[in-house]
Amino acid sequence: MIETKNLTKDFGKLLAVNNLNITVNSGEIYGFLGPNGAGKTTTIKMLTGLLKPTKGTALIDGIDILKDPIQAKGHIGLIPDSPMVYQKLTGREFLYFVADIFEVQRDSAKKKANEIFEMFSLQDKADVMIENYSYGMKQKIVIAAALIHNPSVLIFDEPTVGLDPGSAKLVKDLLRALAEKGKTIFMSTHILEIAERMCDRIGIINQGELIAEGTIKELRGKAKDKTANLEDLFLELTGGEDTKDLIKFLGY
Amino acid sequence: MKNVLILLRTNFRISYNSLAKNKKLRLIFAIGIGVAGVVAFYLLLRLSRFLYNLKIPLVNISLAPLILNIVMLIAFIYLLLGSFSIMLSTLYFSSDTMLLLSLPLKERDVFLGRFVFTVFEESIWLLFLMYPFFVGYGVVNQANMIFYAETLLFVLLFPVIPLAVAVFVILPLAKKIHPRKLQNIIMVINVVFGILIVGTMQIANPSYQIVSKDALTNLFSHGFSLMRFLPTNIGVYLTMSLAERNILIGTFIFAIYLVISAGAFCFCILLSLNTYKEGLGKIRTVQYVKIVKRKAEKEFKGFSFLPTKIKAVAEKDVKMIRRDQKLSVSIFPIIAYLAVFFFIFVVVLGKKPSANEPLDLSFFTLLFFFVFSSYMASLQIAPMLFYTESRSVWVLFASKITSQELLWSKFVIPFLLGEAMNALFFILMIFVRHPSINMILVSVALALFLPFIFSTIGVSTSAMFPVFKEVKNPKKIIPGKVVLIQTVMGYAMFGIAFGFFFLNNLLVKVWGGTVAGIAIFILVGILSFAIGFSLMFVGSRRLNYVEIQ
Ligand SMILES: Nc1ncnc2c1ncn2[C@@H]1O[C@H](COP(=O)(O)OP(=O)(O)O)[C@@H](O)[C@H]1O
Ligand SMILES: [Mg+2]
Repeated sequence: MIETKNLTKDFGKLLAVNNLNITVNSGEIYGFLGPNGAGKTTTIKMLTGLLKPTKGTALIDGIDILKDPIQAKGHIGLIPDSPMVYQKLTGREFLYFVADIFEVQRDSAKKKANEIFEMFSLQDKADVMIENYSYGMKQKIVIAAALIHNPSVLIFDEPTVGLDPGSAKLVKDLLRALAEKGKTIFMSTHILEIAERMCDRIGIINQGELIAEGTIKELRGKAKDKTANLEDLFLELTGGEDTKDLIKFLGY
Repeated sequence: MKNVLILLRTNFRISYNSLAKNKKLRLIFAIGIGVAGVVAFYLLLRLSRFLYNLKIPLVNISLAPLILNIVMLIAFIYLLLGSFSIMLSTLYFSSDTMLLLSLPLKERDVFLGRFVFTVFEESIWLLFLMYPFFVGYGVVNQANMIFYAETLLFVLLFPVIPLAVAVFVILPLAKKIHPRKLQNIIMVINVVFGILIVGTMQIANPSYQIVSKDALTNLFSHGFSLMRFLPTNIGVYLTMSLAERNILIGTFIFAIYLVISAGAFCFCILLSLNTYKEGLGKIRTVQYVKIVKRKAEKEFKGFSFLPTKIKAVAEKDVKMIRRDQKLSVSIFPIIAYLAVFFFIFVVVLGKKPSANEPLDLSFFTLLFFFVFSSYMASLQIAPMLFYTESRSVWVLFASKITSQELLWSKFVIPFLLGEAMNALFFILMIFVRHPSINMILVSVALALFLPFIFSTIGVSTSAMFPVFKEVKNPKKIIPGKVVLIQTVMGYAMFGIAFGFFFLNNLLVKVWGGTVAGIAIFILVGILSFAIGFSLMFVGSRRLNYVEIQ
């Protein structure tokens, strides 16, 4: 479970995240939807203890990330927006390394690593240095690392960016399966379609503020025009109406 | 040709801009460097005039040719030794290489631009450090303007030949051997040269020889007869004939010099035509062809005695050092220094202290060695390990590692390295010197605790400036502030260690060797732990507030 309490972050003048209050239950896939620069990554970094909130806090499975960061981090698997990992380790070494720093027994780490390699068809790259991986393979190894300690909360910044359609499908199925096992899944995305198709509940963030929240049905109900699809709502809420008019005007 | 000029201009601008970030500061720095240069010039000019006017009653000859030769010879050897690594890194490892190659530029132009710029960079040094000796000669001999002009040109072109020699060797070799490997080889050769030079100086030990009149005359007559064969003598002939107003002969010699330099220069360009491209190609393609499978079982597993999380980070760092050529290239010189140092240690150890010295100076030197080796092995390596986390550091900060564990995991390698070096020196000392109990106790205290202190300083001061960014040059990965702080703290530790030496001397007189030794041991131990643990505490507190951007 994830619970944020008045989570706020300012970078000097810029208010990147403002008084965010959301709750994500276990067994749920929560989509955090917003345009570029809305504050999604900033929120995720605060949830995972990489950034300190200016105000407010977040609870991970009831543990305060500010008061007991190490305990809370043990419950989280993080997949950041760009897969920066140690280039000079092999995929397997990296997974074992992550297992060690999450205090996972080596035997269960080995088993889990092999499972994951097989799932992502990375068996023949497992003992190759990560610097020789493609972008998508790097992303897979980061996902693998996030799963190795069997976290109850999975936080995923912009999934499926850089993955081929097959792998993207795999990730979707994986997330669904994990949710069914009772894990909490929080993913950010700027792509509406992904949110619409994958998530049980969606929060729309714009300029640091949560402007709408609910299931897809509920969100549709909120739109001015009841027949409008989610895209219209998204554009309406995030001030994209002008863009839409422009597009219409240009005749596309 | 136009391209070369553009490249040169860009290079100048980059060098100027890299003086400082701030525009005003940049100007101040540039002026500061200029003033320092002028001061150096003036001082060297005074020195050279003093030397030229010096009359040695015994040998009744002018020292000028000898001094000029020595100055030029030092400059030449220095340039020659340095030019291998300078040319290698400017030709192959400049960060703008990829960019330049993607532009419509010929490799020849890139080569020319870099060669000429390096000559220019080196000649600026010579202008301030070598030219004063020529000017001094001119002043003493009341030379005319032609003298100053031609010797100035001579000095400015002086780097061409040594740099060309380096290029002759490097260009063809880089075609066969990967430039990074070549860099290591050159470093080894430089270290061997360093050892040879130090060794010769130790054996020749001039302080024994210039004592008798005979020895002095001998030295000079030998020097003069040898001097005729020195290539730098061409500069001496040039200077002397011009100063004596033999303009024609002087200019003729100058012309010969010009022809030789121009020949070397042209030959470099010719050589670059069909070698430079291949060497660059090696650098460009290496990342894509090298896919090596690794067996996880074979890897280093030496830290199993440590707690799991700390062990994991330390073992990962060992792998990174071994596999990352950029990292090992920057750690290698440190090991090389230690090797040189080890050699000196052995030589100095061999010398027995004379009986009537009030202080045992050889013991003093021994302690100095312990401080220095701990400084090199621990304080130089610790920050490098800390900052190489660079952009991957989020992995650690998103994990269950506490900031204390993170700091101590970075402490392990530099600490053990320092202890290993010191253990080696210590064993050597026991065998060569048969030290007293007091000496053993004081040495053990320093050898044991200094790597601890230096490693904690290295790690904790780095933690106080936690910037994790990607850099091309691993030497620049450590922020300037941290380097400054660590250097100052390093020197402070030298001072404190010497303080203990004198304290020990005092205590020996009061309590006798053994008790004094034990007292020093306990004192050093307590102080080390107090300083080390409090620094680590402060460092880990700072890390708690780190934000990963
Ligand atoms: N370290 C930082 N310093 C200053 N501003 C930042 C920093 N990180 C992010 N921002 C700003 O905060 C806002 C939100 O950024 P981010 O959370 O990365 O957005 P996104 O929703 O695209 O992930 C942006 O305007 C961004 O420019
Ligand atoms: Mg983002």
